[in-house]
Amino acid sequence: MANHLKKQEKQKNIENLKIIEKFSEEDATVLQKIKSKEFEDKEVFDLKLRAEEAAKDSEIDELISYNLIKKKLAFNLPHQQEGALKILRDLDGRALLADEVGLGKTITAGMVLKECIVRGFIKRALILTPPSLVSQWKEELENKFNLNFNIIEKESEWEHAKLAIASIDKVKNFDVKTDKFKHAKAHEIYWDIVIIDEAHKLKDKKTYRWKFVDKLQKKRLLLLTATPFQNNLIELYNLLALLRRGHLGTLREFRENFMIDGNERRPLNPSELKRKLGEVMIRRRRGEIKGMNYMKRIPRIQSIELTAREKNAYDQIVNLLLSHYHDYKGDTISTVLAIHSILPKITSSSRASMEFLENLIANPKYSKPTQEYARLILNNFKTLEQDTKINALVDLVKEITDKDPKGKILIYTKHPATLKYISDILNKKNLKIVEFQGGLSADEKTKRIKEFSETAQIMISTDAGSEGLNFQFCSNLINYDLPWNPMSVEQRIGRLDRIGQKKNIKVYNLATKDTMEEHVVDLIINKMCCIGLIMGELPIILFNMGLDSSAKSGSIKFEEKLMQAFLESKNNLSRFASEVDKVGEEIKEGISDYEKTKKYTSEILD
Amino acid sequence: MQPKNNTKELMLEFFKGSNIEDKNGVLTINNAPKSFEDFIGKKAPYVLVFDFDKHNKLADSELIVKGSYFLSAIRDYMRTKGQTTLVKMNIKFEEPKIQSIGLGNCKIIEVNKKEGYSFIPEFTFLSICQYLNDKKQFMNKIRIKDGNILDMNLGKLTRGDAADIGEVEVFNEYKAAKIKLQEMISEKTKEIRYNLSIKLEKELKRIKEYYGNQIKESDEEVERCLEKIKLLEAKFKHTYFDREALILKRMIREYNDRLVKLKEQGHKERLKKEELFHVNDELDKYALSVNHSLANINLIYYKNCTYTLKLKSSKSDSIKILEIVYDPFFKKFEPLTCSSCNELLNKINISSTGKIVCAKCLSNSKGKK
Repeated sequence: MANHLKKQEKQKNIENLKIIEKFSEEDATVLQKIKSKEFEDKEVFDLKLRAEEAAKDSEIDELISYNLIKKKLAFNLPHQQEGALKILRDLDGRALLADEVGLGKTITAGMVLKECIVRGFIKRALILTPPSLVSQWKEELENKFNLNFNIIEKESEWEHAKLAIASIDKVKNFDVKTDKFKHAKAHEIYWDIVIIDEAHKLKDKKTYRWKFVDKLQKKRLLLLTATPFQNNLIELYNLLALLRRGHLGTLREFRENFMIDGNERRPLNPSELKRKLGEVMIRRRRGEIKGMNYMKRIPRIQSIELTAREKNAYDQIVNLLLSHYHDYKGDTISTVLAIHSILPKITSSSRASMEFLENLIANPKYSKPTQEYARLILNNFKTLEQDTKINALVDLVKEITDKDPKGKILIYTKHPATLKYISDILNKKNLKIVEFQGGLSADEKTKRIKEFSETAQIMISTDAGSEGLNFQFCSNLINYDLPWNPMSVEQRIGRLDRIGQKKNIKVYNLATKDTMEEHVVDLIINKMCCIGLIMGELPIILFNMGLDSSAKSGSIKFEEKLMQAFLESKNNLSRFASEVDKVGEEIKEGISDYEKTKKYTSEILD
Repeated sequence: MQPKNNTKELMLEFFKGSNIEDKNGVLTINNAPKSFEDFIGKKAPYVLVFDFDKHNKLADSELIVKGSYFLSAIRDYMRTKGQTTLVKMNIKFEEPKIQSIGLGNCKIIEVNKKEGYSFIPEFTFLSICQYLNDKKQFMNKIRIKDGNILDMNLGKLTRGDAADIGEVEVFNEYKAAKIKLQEMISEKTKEIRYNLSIKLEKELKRIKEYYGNQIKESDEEVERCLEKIKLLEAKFKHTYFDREALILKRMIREYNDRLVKLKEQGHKERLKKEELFHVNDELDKYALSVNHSLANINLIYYKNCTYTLKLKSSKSDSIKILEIVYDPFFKKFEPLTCSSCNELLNKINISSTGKIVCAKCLSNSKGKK
C-alpha cells in the first residue's frame, strides 16, 4: 500500500514537469533525399558519428570552456573555476556570489557565462551593473571570454540584443504617467541568465530597482556582491527574495525566526541562517585563497612650482574660460561644458594648452574678442623660456631609474598632444620608450605591450585603449596629469595592481602648486585611491554613495561636484580648497560606512 | 562501428585528401573543401593543436578540445552530411514452394516470376536532452519493417547502388520510428525526469507555502485590525480626557487606513499573480527539453521475387491473375488480404464477381444469392 502511494506520488510529481519534445524540421529534407535517391557513402556517416562523439559535452563536472579562455586569463585561480562549477552544478545557476572584493567575482561570473554558451544553454543573457562599470564589464567579457555583449541604451534595443549589458540605474527608470518601466521590453524577454553586479543595491523591496529585477523572467540568476547587507538583516531577506522567493519564509516568519527585537543587525539564530544562506550562496575570503598577494600603493605627490610667467599664462586661460568665452554671436558658451572639456586639457601640459588656443583662434564659431584674448595668451606661451612640469618629469624619471635601473615606468596622460610632447622630450634622454594610445590595431597593441615587457623601459599611455591590460611586471606609475574621475585613476593603477604584482606600487603624481590641480590630486590620490582599499572597492563606495552615475554634463556625479566647486569658487583657490575638503569629508564618511558594512557582513557570513 | 574518440585521428580523417603537415603533434591543413571554408567562415590553412601549451605558443592555432569552436564547427558541418546511405543485403535465394500457398476454390494453372527489391529503412536519430545545466545526448537506431521494429542481425551488408532501385517512400516507417523513439527516450530519461520532478516539487512547495502564508498573514492582520479598532472604540467611548481622545481617534483612523489597504481588491490578486509568475518561472527552469533530429536514414535493400499466378475457379471458368511477392529474407510470401473484408487470407478464393476473397466472404456472397 505504501509502495503504491509512493508510486502515485511519483507519477503526480512527474505530471507537473514541463517536457518540450520536438522533432527537427530538417527531417523532411532527409526523407526527400531518400525519395530522390540521393545517397552518400557509409564512411561519411561513420565520420559524422565520430565527430558527434568527439564534440559531445561531458557531464558538468568540469568546465569544458576553461581551455578556451585560460590563454586570456593572467592567472589560474582555482577558486574561480570551483565557484563557477558550483553555481552551475550544485546551485542550478541561481546563486548569491558573495566573495570578498578582489577575488574576481566578474571572472567567476564570466566563466559561468562562457560555459553555458559553449554548452549551448544560453541564447539570451543580461548583465545589469552600476553605470560606471558597464564598459568595464563589456571589455572584460570581450577581452577575456571572447563574448560580445551589446550595451543597451534605448528601449528599442532590447528586442535584438541576445547578449545585453545595461546600467541598472538607467533601466530601472519608471514612468509614473504610464505606470510602466521605461525599459519594460526587458520584461517581455525570457532570459537564460541574468547577472546583477553590486547586488547589495537591491536591498529595498520598495525601490524600482528591486522591482525591475524581480519582474525579469529568468532561468538563471547570479547576484554579485561582497556585502549582501549593510545595516539591516531585512536587506539580506530582500536580496534572497529575488533569488528564491520564500527561501527565508515570509517577512513575518523571518522576523520571528532570525531577528532579535530591537536589533536589526544581529541574527537570532546565526547558525541556522548561515545554513539557509549556504543553500544559495558562495562566499570565499581572501585569506583562504592561495596565491593572492596584495601589494601596497605608495603615493607621492610631486609639487611643481610654476615660474611667475607660467602662472600668469595659466591664470589667463582660466580667466578666458570663466569670463571671456563667447561664441561668434557674443553669447557666453556654457561654462560647465567648457570647464568639463577644456580645463583638464589646460592643466595637462603647455603643449595641450597651446593646441587648445590654436584651435580656438582658427575656429570661426568663437567671437573675435575671445579669439583676440586667446591669441594674446598663446603669444605669452610661446615666449616662455621653460616648462617646469616637463622638467619635473624628467627629474623624476631620472630619480626612479637611478634607484632601479631595470625598473619599468608607466606614464599616463589624458591627452594625445601631451603624450607626444613627453615622448619627444624623453626620447632626447636616450631612454627606450613605447607610446600607447587609442586607435592602434590589435596586432600593434600586442607588439607594443611585448616591447614594454621585454626591451623598453618606459611606456607613455593615454587612458583610451589601455583598458583591461596587465602590466603587473611594472611597479612605477606616473600620473603626468590626473583625471577628475577617481574611477579612471583606479583603472590606471589597476593596470599594475593585479594578481602577480610582486612589488609595492609607487604612484607618482605631478601637481602644479597653487592651482586647483593640487587639491584635486590630493583628494583623489591621498584620500581615495591610495588609502589601502583593495582594487574594486572604490567603485563600490562611489556606487553606494550614488556618485558614479552620469550627471547632466556627461561626466560622473563625483567629477561634476568638483567642477561645480571650481565654478562657484570663481578661481578663488582657498574657496575651492574648502569645497574639495567638503567632498573629501563626504568620501571619508562613505568609506567608513563601507568598512562598517564589511565588518557586519563578515560577522554574519564568515 | 564504435566511434573512435581520438580527435587528431578524426581531424586527419576529416581533412583526408587535403594537403596536411603533421609536425610535433601540430597539424597544418593547407587546403580544405570550399564548402567547409564557407561554413566556418575562414579559409585554410588551419593550424590545429591538441593541447593548451601548444595553443599558447602558436599565435593563430586552433585548439581542438571539447567545446572549442573549431571542433563544434566540424560537428555542425557534419550534421548536414551523411544523412542518407544505401546498403545491400545479399541473401541466397531459395525458390519458395508455390504449393504452400493456401488455395480454396481455385487452382494455379500458370506461374510466372520476376525479380524486384524489398526495403528495410534504418533510422538513426540524434536526441539531445537538455535540463537545468546539463545535457544528455543519445543516438538511437531503429529499423522498421511492415510497421514493426526489426531487431535482428541482418548479416553482411555491402555498398548499395542507387541504380538498382526505383522511387522509395519511407514516410510511414519514419512515423512509426518516431513513436518508438519517443518510447525509448522516455525510458532513458526516466531517472532524469524523476530527479527534476523532485527538485521542482520542492520549489513549488516553497512558493505555494510562501504565498499561502502571505495570504494567511494578511487575513490575520485584518482580524487583528478589526479587534484593535473595536478595543480602541470602546476606550474612546469612556475616555474623559481630550488629549487621550485625540490619540485614540488618530489610532483608530490609522488602523482603518491599514484595513482599507489590506482589504483592497487588488491585494490578494496581486499576490496570486505573483505566485503564478514564480510558479511558471520554476516550471520553465526545471523543464526538460528534448530535441530529436534524423542523423541518417540507411536504406537496406535486398532482392525479392514477384510471382504472377494464373488462377482458375474450380466452380466456374473464371480466371484470375494474382501477383504475390516472396520475401527471401523472411522466407515467406507477403500476406494477402481479402478484397472484401480486408482480413488476412489463409486460403485464396475467387468470388463470382472475380475478386480474391476469404472463405467467409465467399460463403456470405453465396447466401445472398
